Amino acid sequence: MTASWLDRKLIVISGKGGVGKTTVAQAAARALAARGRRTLLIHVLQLGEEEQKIERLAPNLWTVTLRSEDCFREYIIMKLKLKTLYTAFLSNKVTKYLEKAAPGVREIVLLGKVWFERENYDHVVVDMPSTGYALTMIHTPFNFAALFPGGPIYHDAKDMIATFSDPKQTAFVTVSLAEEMPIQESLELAEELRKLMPGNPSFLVMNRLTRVSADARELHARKWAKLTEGERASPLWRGLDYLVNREAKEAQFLSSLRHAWEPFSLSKGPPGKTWLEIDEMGAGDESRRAETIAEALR
Amino acid sequence: MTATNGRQSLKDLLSSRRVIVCCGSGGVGKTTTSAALAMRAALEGKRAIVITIDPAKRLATSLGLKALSPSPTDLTENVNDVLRAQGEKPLAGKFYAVMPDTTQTFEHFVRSIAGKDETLAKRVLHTSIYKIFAKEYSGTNEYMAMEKLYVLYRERDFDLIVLDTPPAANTRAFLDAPKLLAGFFDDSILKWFIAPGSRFLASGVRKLSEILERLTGSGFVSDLIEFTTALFELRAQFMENLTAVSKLLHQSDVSFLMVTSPERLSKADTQDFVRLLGESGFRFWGFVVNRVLGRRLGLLEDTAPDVAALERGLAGATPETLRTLRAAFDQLKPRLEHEREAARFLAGLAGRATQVALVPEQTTDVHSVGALLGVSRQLD
Repeated sequence: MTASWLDRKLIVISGKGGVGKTTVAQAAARALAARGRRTLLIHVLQLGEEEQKIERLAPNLWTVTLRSEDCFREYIIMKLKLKTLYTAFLSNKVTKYLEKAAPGVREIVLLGKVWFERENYDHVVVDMPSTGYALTMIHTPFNFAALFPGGPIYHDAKDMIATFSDPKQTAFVTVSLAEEMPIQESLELAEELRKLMPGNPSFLVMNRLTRVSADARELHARKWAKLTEGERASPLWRGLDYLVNREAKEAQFLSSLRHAWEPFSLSKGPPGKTWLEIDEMGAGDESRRAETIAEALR
Repeated sequence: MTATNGRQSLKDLLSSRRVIVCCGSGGVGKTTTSAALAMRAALEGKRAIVITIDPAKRLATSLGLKALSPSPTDLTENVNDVLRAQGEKPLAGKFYAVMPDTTQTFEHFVRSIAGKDETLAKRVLHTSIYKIFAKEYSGTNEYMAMEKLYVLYRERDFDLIVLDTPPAANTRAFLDAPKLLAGFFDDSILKWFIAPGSRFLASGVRKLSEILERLTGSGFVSDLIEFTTALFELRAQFMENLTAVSKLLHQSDVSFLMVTSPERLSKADTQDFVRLLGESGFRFWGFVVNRVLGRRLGLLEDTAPDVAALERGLAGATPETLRTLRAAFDQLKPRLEHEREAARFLAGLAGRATQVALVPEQTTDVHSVGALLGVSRQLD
């Protein structure tokens, strides 16, 4: 197994909604581009999500937004090699229904596009939808390979599985916060992926961790218990109290998680650590976030 | 909690409605809010129940249970134990919880529509397509939740039913679910598959299927057609159920609210939901905004805090103490700024009759009956 997930060709990032998948994916892609690697960042649109134009972020870094309908069209043109046929085929109401109703077809085609792009870049970083739909997507090649032998989709599915299962080529990364619900979803996702690809366990990123200065911690320990009612009502003291408690609560949560680690069979994170930790940062700190990832996974 | 003059507070809502539907995207505390609303109604003397899909079993754990049952469970005593320990009066009403059975969602969905027709259900479920389809097909959890709501409403055992809509990426998912499912029973399309009076394929469809088959291999299309045809036979019952639920959701004793949090608030998602709700003719109460840090710190959400004034308020503090406090406060500033922006957005979006209720960031995780009671007392 290679040392770090950042070295792999295909980096697939998911996690519970709101944990910062997109910022982590962008930071990872930035870190790669900064090393001079030609990198493609793919943002997979969630159902109902509005299309967002992502600018070209840096030298060596390209981005694209994928929507399943567009991929389906492209795939049919590529495989059937006949544009007029495609138009007749797709404009038909019944076929539109088939495409919508035929479960998994859209998902496998979208995943196929992601998989195909790895040929064109040094790295492809995929910002996936949140856990549930991401898992449904990753399931599709396995379903097609098992249930419907024959046809181009079947053969592509087999090839995709080989790439995804190979720890030299693909890394599955699940992003979480130091809170119960997100970590539960991350661990469930990792466990489901492990069932599909036992040889390629997922990695974990703990995002947006609270960090407080030693001064702040010390001040809180020394004074909080002795404050008057009035002082405790001050937003300044309450703010300090919130931060110190939050940091302590997260630390406690993470240490309880360390004990619960073994059954989940995840890959180890940075050297000597179970997961990669990223501190809470403002919106303007993209490059610092990228440096954190690059540094930890060097 | 804001209750501007002439507007209906959450407390009033709880006393004047029979059903409250809580919508919202994942991770905003929707389940907690729903349970706290039902608990609040129970404190006020109602027989209240929360219908929740709680796959992580967090609510169950909070309530001291291993799992929630698919039949209504009386949890009044669990709450009363805590109230007594706090030296408070027991609940004046009753508190129940129920979790619809969504373990094998699509199978359960098909069986629930097929009713006694076992063979028909089997025909749908035996195809390979079903195995792909069954994986959390969009809309089925929502359907099961709606059906549970319908049954409980008709039984009239409860004064108030709070529906915690299933976890979804976007807020409108609950409203879209019926249409998504109904898409499979669309007569105008399905009739193409079946020549009138027989189960043979219409010839146009056969040609098209051949093209799809070139992509997917032979088994897929025939399986899909078998699946769709069998599903077609269930359409009448499904449509009937759906019409009944839709009628219920439009009644004047049913209100919708949106649960959100400043960090998870998506403007596009919110606007989309509010618009769709209006178009569909549902009654919208407003927003419950969870995890508001400013509320916890005792700040107003409409103006930026004057840190210098706050420092002057701490007359006895040394310059070093003030410096450390200021540095810590600076760390929170971006989040507070973001909260004010979110509150402005919601207030601007809120129509004449729409409320915005702000719930403070809690000191502890809401992991116990005590913590849930704490939240429910903050819902005014």
